[in-house]
Amino acid sequence: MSDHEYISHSPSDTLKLGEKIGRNLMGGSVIALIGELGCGKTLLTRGICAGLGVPLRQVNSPTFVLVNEYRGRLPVFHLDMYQLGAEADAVELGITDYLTRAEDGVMIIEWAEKIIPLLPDDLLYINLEILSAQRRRIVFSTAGKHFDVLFRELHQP
Amino acid sequence: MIVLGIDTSGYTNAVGIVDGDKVLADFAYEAKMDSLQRIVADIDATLKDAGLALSDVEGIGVGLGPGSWTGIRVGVTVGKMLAFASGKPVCGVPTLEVLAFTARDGSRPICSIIKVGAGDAVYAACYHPEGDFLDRIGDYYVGDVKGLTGMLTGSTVLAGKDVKEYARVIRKESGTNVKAVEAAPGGAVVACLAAQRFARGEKDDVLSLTPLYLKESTAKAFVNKYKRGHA
Amino acid sequence: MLVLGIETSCDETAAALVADGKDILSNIVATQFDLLKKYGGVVPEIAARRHTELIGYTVEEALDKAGKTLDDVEAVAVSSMQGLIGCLMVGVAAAKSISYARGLPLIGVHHVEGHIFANRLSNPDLPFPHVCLTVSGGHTLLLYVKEESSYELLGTTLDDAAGEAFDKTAKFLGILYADRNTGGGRAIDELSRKGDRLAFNFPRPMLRNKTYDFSFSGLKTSVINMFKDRIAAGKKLPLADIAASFQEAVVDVLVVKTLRAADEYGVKAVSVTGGVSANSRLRSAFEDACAAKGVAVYFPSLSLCTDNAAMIAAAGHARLMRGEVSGLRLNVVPNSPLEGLDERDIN
Repeated sequence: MSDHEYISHSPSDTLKLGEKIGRNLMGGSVIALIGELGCGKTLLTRGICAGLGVPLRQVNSPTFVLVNEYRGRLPVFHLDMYQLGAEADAVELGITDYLTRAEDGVMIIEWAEKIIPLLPDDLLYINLEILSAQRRRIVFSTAGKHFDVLFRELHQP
Repeated sequence: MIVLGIDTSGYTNAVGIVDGDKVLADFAYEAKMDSLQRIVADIDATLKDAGLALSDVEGIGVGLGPGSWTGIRVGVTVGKMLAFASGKPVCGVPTLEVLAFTARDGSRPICSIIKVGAGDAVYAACYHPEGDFLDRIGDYYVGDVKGLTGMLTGSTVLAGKDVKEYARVIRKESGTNVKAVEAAPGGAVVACLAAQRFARGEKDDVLSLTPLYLKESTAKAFVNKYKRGHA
Repeated sequence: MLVLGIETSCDETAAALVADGKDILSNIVATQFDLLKKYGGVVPEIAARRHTELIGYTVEEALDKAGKTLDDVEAVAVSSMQGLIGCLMVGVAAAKSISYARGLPLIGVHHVEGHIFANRLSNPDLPFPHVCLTVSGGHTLLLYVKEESSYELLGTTLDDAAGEAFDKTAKFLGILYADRNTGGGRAIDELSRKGDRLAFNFPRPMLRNKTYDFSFSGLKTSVINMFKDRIAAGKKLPLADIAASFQEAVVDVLVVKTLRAADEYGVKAVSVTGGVSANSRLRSAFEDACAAKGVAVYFPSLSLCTDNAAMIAAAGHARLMRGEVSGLRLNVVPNSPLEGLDERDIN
């Protein structure tokens, strides 16, 4: 079990943190972003995608389309489960295929709480908590060893 | 009858050609990321290998899945639009049946299995040989391997990819010893099964041919898993 | 030369027969609008499944309507660049199959280039050079079109496309009609006719900015904030006025920047194309502004503003005439810059 806590002082901090994460991700990474509206899930995702070499312009919140696909140094599957009604909806939108394709890429899920049982056990949880208008507490945790490289980098000052 | 068979449901472009009982060509091209890009070139190469052109083909068989939804769409769209554009008949064949036919062993019942992407769930179906044909017994199954035990006996052949592992799970779960036979969807088998149907005067409507996603069953299986996950 | 065009880049399954790059013999579009209702957007997997169901019927209907058969078709053009990957795949799979079975040349077309050609289809007298504004749900691009198929990207949106801004605002204002095939843009267009476009003065983002880039998410936020403030203050919410004023802000920016470009590049013609070019206020604002500057303005007919396959056939025909053929290994490219431009990313 690894964990790490980070305090972001501004949106630009969050973006930079995202880039650092993106640079240190391997294929087969599933990331669950947890936090309330406005906490910066999409912002962090944009940073992660930038770190993976996806042009910022392409990364938008898939609230209404549920899934966006991007191509950086790895394929990226960006999901937003906010609108998911029933669990069966996740199948409807093709989650089984996306999970398979994400074995060689990265899957980032906003509002992931809704589908946790469908996700692999060694996923990375990133919890964002609003401390003030600008500041966020960002907590990372994962079981398993898949994100060891990332955690080593995060623990560097 | 010269029949072209294709199946793209399993991250491979499987293309084969049969003429009656004879297999003229049978290839499987690894295609995880580039199935669409290469599929027509793969079909062309397979035809050329058999010394044929598309105009020599008299019918087209298409693997319908289940499997990768994106993958199945490539094969089904190509199969039906090739049929439409060349005026040939088309026949869809469930991929589970293709696996069962590949692994058939005398009169033993066969249970074929396809993994549902990442995770433990599998698609499965049971078949009974009737002469040269296969009859499906019961409905398609989606769920974990352990749930299959009620459908299997000691004489069942388990067919699919990595089935030795599933056979172990089943033995552990119920003590039943099934015979595990590795099988992958092959184009020639698709063609053969399509040829059987054509010979019986059956064919599918070209424009309405669609994949066998088993969407509702997959959804049910995931809801059950979801509920168990939250218990 | 008779070209079969196929378009499946988003949620419309379309096929068309176009002769000599200019005569539309048929233009069939099967809209999957009912799919949008549940989630409010085009869910790629769901749309891709529908394309697979519809593609055969759509191609057949295009042939029937044109009174032609595949024997008459001489080339196949298909949207292969820019769009949803799973959706593009269905059209390309179908196009490749027809091309192979019939021995016809296959041309992959960039979806946005299709929109650019849509205007020439409607207006054969659209001259070169001209400045082209392509505005839709997925794109907002300002281009200098020197000659056919020669494009210089002048500006693009830094965040939401104009059509997206319409959709999101319409959704926010709650004016999408669940029972009708109406998108956000059209809903706002219709409601705005009953409203006062000067009632509220929303910011015109990037209006004075020297570049030709656009930005609409700030405008959307202004509308949302103003709305919330009014509720908090117990004030009325005149939806028609809000819609009209929002629309005016978008239109203003689009018109001013486009005309500034026309001026800088010394062109006497402006082409406005894409789904948002169907907007009545955008059309009248452009007509007035262009008349005042002695510049001619061109819009596609309404059926050619939204995604369709006739525009793809026309764009494909032009490329074919220049000897550009794609071949059977044609792949889909979901995010790609329009050919002939520098490395700038296209939304």
